[in-house]
Amino acid sequence: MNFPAFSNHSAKRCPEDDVLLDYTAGRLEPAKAALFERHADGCARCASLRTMQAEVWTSLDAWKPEPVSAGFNRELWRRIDAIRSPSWSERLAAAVHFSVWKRVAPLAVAAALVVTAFVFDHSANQPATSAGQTNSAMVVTATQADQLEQTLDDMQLLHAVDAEVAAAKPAHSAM
Amino acid sequence: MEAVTALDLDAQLMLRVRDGDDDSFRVLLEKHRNPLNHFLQRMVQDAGASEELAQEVFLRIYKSRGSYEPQAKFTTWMFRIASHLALNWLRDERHERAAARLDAKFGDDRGGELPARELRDRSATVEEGMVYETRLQEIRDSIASLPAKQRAAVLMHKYEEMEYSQIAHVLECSESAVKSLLFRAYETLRARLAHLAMGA
Repeated sequence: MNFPAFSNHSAKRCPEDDVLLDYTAGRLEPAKAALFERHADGCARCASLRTMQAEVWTSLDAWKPEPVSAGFNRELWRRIDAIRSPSWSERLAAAVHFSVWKRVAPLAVAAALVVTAFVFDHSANQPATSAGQTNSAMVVTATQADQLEQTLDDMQLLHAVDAEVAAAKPAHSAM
Repeated sequence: MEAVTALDLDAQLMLRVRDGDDDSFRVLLEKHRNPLNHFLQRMVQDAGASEELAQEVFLRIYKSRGSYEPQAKFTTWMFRIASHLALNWLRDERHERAAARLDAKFGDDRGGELPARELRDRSATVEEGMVYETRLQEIRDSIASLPAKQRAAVLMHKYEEMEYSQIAHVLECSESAVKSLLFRAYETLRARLAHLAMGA
């Protein structure tokens, strides 16, 4: 706290405003209060302020507020109980509260994307799969035809070999 | 941020409330109900509204118990909530008009209650009661004439005996700003109430 005026008791160097307030409120240390009193005794301005502030202080003391109503606590606890046991609509509102959604929204969006992609992929693959099956059926048929042709060639070769062997046997037995 | 080196009793009680102890909340309620209500009554000058606001303060305290951290004195926190609510209430023009209407009604219907009670208490005469009523109304009007923030500062300084630093924390301004608010407010009150002192 500043006491620039108290060293020389000069009215020109009055104390800070809060000194007057603290003095009137009785919150000034005794030594500082004594200094202020000595200053005010020689300073018309501070003496006047001291008197007027004391009068304001006393006037304000006269203002006694009304007592709190008897039902204050009961009403407060009723409101507190209402907070502690919210209605079903409040619980629902709390459940779908934006802050909750804010937290799960990215996860929900990701899940939705995965499901959408799966469904789209699944439905898109359905005709493609049957076409693939047709193609593979055609491929199998072609392979079988090649194999059949190969087998027929092999059988024809075997017949030819058998015929040659049969023709060679009489000649052999004749020797 | 207000330094809280050692937890005050209220903060300790509030920590217990945070842990689910409603009895500690009851203790806080009993301890601070009247000072809080008186502050709000002098701020808004409407007994019904001040009780409503006081309930709202306690309700907000209870609602935020889960996240309570004793970073400042409990009363600083409580009066900060109360000041915010009262300043908002006063800022609301509808409430200003309603208060004016209620004040007029109060003057007619309830203005006689206090002096009458005081008369019984003091065994004073009717004339003295009327003088007291006039004086009280002048004080109420003088306080009501102050800008809301000056009013809050004066009420906390005068009636709640708060330090400048605590008022600064409640009103979220600097200590020097509080001193300035107070000095301007008391200057106005000295000018408005001087005639009361001279007549006393």
